[in-house]
Order: sequence, then structure tokens, then C-alpha cells
Amino acid sequence: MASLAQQKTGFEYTITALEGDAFCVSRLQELGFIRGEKVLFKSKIIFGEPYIVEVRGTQIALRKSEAECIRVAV
Amino acid sequence: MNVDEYAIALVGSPNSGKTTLFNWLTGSKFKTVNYPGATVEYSIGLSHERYGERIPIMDTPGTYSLVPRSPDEVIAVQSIYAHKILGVCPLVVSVVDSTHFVRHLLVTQQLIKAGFKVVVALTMNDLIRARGEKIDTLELSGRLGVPVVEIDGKLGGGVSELLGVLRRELNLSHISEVAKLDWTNFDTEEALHKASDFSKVVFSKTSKQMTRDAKIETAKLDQILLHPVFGLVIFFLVMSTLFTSIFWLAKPLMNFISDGFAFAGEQVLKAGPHSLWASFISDGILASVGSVITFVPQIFILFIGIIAFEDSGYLARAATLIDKPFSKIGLNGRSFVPILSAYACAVPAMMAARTINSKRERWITLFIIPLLSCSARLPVYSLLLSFLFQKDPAWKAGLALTGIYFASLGVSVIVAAIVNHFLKMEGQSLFMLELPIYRMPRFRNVFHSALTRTYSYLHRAGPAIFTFALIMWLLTTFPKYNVENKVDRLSGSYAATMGRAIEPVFTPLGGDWRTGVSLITAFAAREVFVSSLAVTMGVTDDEKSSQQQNLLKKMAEARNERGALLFTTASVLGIMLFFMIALQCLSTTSVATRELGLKFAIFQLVIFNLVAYILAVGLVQGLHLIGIS
Repeated sequence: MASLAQQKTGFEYTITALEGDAFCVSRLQELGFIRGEKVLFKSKIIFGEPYIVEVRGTQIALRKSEAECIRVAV
Repeated sequence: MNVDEYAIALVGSPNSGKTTLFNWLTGSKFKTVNYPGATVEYSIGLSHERYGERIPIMDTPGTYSLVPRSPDEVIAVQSIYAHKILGVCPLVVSVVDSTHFVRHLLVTQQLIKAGFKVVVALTMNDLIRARGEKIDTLELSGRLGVPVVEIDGKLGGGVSELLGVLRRELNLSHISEVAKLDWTNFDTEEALHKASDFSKVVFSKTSKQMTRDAKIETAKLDQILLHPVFGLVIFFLVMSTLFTSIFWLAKPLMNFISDGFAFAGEQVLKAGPHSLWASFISDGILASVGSVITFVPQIFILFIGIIAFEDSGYLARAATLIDKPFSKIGLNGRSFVPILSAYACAVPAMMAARTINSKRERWITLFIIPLLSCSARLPVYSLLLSFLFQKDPAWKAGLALTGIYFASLGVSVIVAAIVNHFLKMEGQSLFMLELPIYRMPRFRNVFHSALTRTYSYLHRAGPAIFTFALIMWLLTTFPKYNVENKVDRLSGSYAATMGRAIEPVFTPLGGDWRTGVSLITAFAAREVFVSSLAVTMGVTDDEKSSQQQNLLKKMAEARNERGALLFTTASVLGIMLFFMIALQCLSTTSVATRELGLKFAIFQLVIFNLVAYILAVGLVQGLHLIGIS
């Protein structure tokens, strides 16, 4: 399965699973990243990281490593 | 009702409007109780008289979950589960931002599951109304099984009603049975789905047209503020404005305060010229209190700036912009606020680092904080630069000062990189930062929060600075306290004896016992170096010229016992380098102890002073070698 980190900006993706470090996964969930939820990959910051994404109407800045925990359907 | 018996806690996610609600509840004439000593940082205040019977309210740090993941979240959770003095919280207000209803209802559900008595306060309703929507609070209350109150953060509507509900709930004296929360990722998922179902029922469209959508405004602003080029330009402009205002706005106030204390001290000495009491009050008490109060304007202005940026939503963007470069040297975007604060004072800076969840990144952040040029160094630099540039136009010294500030940043970056390379410490590094919608900061709120934080700073740093300043007075006054001549009194004092004993240490720096004593007294507070030097150099009040001019003249004439000039280009540069790196601040060490333990604090204290000394001696001797005396 592909991770959000590999996707193009400007599109919306559906979260299929959260995988990876338990600490990271729990916090992602608490921020609203759960299975079935839509996530909009808005942009990348000038230095390539963090990524700006939107989930449930909330904007969140994620590092690449954090976006890698989010599996999405392409 | 007593603040020492219980307090109703406000619990909620960051950016939920918790502190705004706290300010509404307690009013502007708040009475904040901060518990000293413990590693906790939260405020307790009594509800305002205008709402009737006063009840104690506690503001806690924001948390996304009752399963804490950073030091400030641990504090939030501890404060309701097992408060050191108040025990289990009898009633919790779960603060929910209506525009992030689903996500914020997670903590509410966790609180209810853990067995707390909960009242929900819905904030940011003005934005919901502006969107042309409304919330059915009765329906929500029925579904959650707890009271729900809508709060208008802008006008304070609903605050009185909330207090009514709180009083009623308190009187229903059924004691809540709180258990440790058994919570898995699966529970989080379920809770979010449940909240999502609720939102479909309780939110409805009103007949009103959408007047404004804060989300769209935010997206437009972000296109500029997070823009690869403009974003960075604005970032540097904003930060340099904040940074310079810390100095230029605060400077007249700081001068006013220090002059005021100096004047009061002189008057006391005039009133009782030969009495030990007058000396104690003037040079002991007034001087010590003065050295604490002098920094208040600067710290207050810094807090105003930081809180205003925080409330506006910009600070989260600033942290995002800086995260990548910071991560290269083992820091986090969240290290940004602590590092910025450190330019005013290391004490609040170290406390601000609690939002960093990775122990490793927090360790490195706290480690480099004392290297950044805090305001206490400013009087020292300004004296030494005036000495070096006595015959030059003023802008040269100003330029040199700017250079010192950049150099301190450079040194911190290098040290962070070195520590990052060698530090063997695991630490899960997370950034994951919510970017809240932009809002106009409310002056009342900003002012109130800045006041609370300044008070908290005074509470922490004040006693330490005061105590050390008093000890320094004792050491410089006794045993020859009854000798009238200031210079004789000092040169026969315990401090001078100590200074002479360690004089060999200062000889390689180009100094003698007088520089030594001044450097030692600087451990009370760095700027004390200047006044100590004035005393050891025997500067007397002269109506014609200012004290600084007198001091500069004496410095230029001062010679050591072998007849060599004491203050030369080399030795002054050496002292400046020493001040840049040395950790001559026992208040910082005491806060570092509280934050990361005694081992860390001692290590930091020893290594910075040792390295500062070695580098300074190296510089002085190196300059001598190439013929600069």
C-alpha cells in the first residue's frame, strides 16, 4: 500500500490504514487521521518538509516520516 | 470556598479556547496561584465576583488526549487525576472548539469514560454562526449524558450560565469515581466515529446566509504566509520586528526602573550615611529587588509578542517553517519559541520547552538556551563595547553588538549540532503540529496571559536572583562593614579575599582580583558585573559626568600589581567571549534542575563555564601572540 508521503500535492486521498511507530500512529489518530477519512495533501514547505495536509477541516503540518505512517488508496 | 481544597479544571485540546474561557471566568482582577517547586505550570483563579459566589477554576495545558505524550500533556493529565494538593478533580470542564467538534470531543469522551464529572463548554460559536450553522446543545447533552453550555469567547456570553451549571453540579454531591483510563487506538477510532455521528445530528443549517468562512480566509493567508519566498521573507520581518521591540520598547522602561532603584538607594544612604542598616536596605535589599524587577518590562513585552502570535495562529506557521532546518541539528520546530524567549531570559525559555514531546530534542533545546544572548548580558556588552569604541562613532559599537547577537546564535547552532552528533539518547521525534485558523488576537486576553506568565516568571526566578544578590551583598560588605570608604571596605571584604585567592585563575585572562570579584558576583545576575566593577574600581559619584563615563575613565587607568594595564583590547575581548558562553546564572541552573534534573544542570553549568574560560584565555593569549595587547 502506498503512503501519503509518496503522493502528489493538491489531491485528496482516502486513508486505508495507519502503520508504523505506535507513538506516531496514536497521535495521528487523535488528530483525526482514521481509516476511511479523507485527507487533502495541500502543499510542501519550502525546505520540502513539513507537509501541509487537511483532515476533517483541520490543517496539520506533518514531517515526511509522519506522513509515511498514513496509508492511502491511490 | 477555598482554593486549597479543590478547583474545577478546564481541560481541552490546544487551541480550544481554554485560556480565553479561563480569562472570562476569572475576570481581569484575577488571583493566580502558581504552585512553586513542582514541575507543574498551571493557573488557578477564583471566578469573578460579577458571576456571584466565587469558585476556584484551574487552567491546564492543552492536551489532545488523556493519554499524554509530552511533558505539558503529562502536567494536564496529572492535574486532574492526582493533583499534589487538590487530589482528584471533582468537576471537569471539557472545552470543545465547535469548529473542530469531532476531534475535540475525543477528550470529552475519554473524561466521561474515566469517570470524571464533566460539563462541556462549546467555544468558537461565533465562527459556526458566521458559517450559517447552529448547534443543538440539548440534543448533544442528551447524547453525552452531561450538561453542555455554549460560550461566546468574543463577548463572554454563556459564562454566567456555565458557572450556574458548575455550581449546581458541585452541589449534587455525588463523588465521582475516577479510574485509570483504559484506552487503545481502537477506542480512539470508535470515539471519533461516534462524535462524527453526533455532529450529523446536532449541527444544522440556519436560515442565515454564510457571512464569512474563516477557513477560506485562512487558506488565502496561508498561500502568502507559507509561500516558499514571501513566507520566509515575512517570517524574518516578523521575527526581527518582535525581536527589536523586545529591546527598543523595553529599554526606556528598564532604564527608568533601574534609575529609580538607584535613586531610592542613594536617598537611603544619604539618610543614614554610617549605618549598616542603610547599607543593607540600599545596597542589599533595594539593589537585589531592582535587579529582579529591571527585567520585567522586557519579559512582559516578549510574552505579549509571543502570546499575540500564538493566539493569531501565526506561531504554528513559524514553527512549521523552521522545523526542517532545526531538525538537522537535533531540534524541533517547537524549539522555536523557547529559543526566541531565550533572548530575553533563559528561565521562561526553559519552561516554554515543555511542548517538545521528544526527550532528546527537549534536552538539546534546554542545553543551548543559556548560550543565546539573554538581556542580562546587554549592560555588560554595552559597557565593554563603549570601552573598546570610546573614540569611535556610536554606530560602530551598535554594529558590534548586532554581531555579538548573531555570533551567539551561531555558537548555539554549532553546539546543538555537536551535541546532536554525540548525544546517545533515544527519543521519538514528532512534529505533527495543528495549524489553527487565523484569528485576531484579543488584547484583553493577550494582556491577561502575559501578566500571568510574567508573574509566574517572577515567582520562579525572583527568589533565586534576590537570594544570590543578598549573599553577594554580605560577601562584599563584611567583615569591614564599618569602614566608610567604599573601596577599602570592598578590598577588605570576604569577596575580595576570595577574589585574591583565585586571582591566578584570572591572570591569564589579563585580569586581577577586581575583575575576578566582578565575574564572581555576576553569578547573582550577569548585569551585576557592571555595578561590581564600579565598586571595585572605586568609582565615586561625580556631579559632572555620568557613572558610566567615570567607570570608563577608571577602567582606562586601572593597572594590575605589576603595573600593566588591566583593560586592554585583548582582555576586554576575552571578557566578552567569556560572557557569551559562560553560564553565570544560578537561576537558570535552578530551573534546569527542575526541568531535566540535577545531573543535567550541573553538567551544563560546569561545561559552559569551563569552555568559556578556556576559549577566553585562548583568545587573550592568541591576541598577545600576534601583538595585540
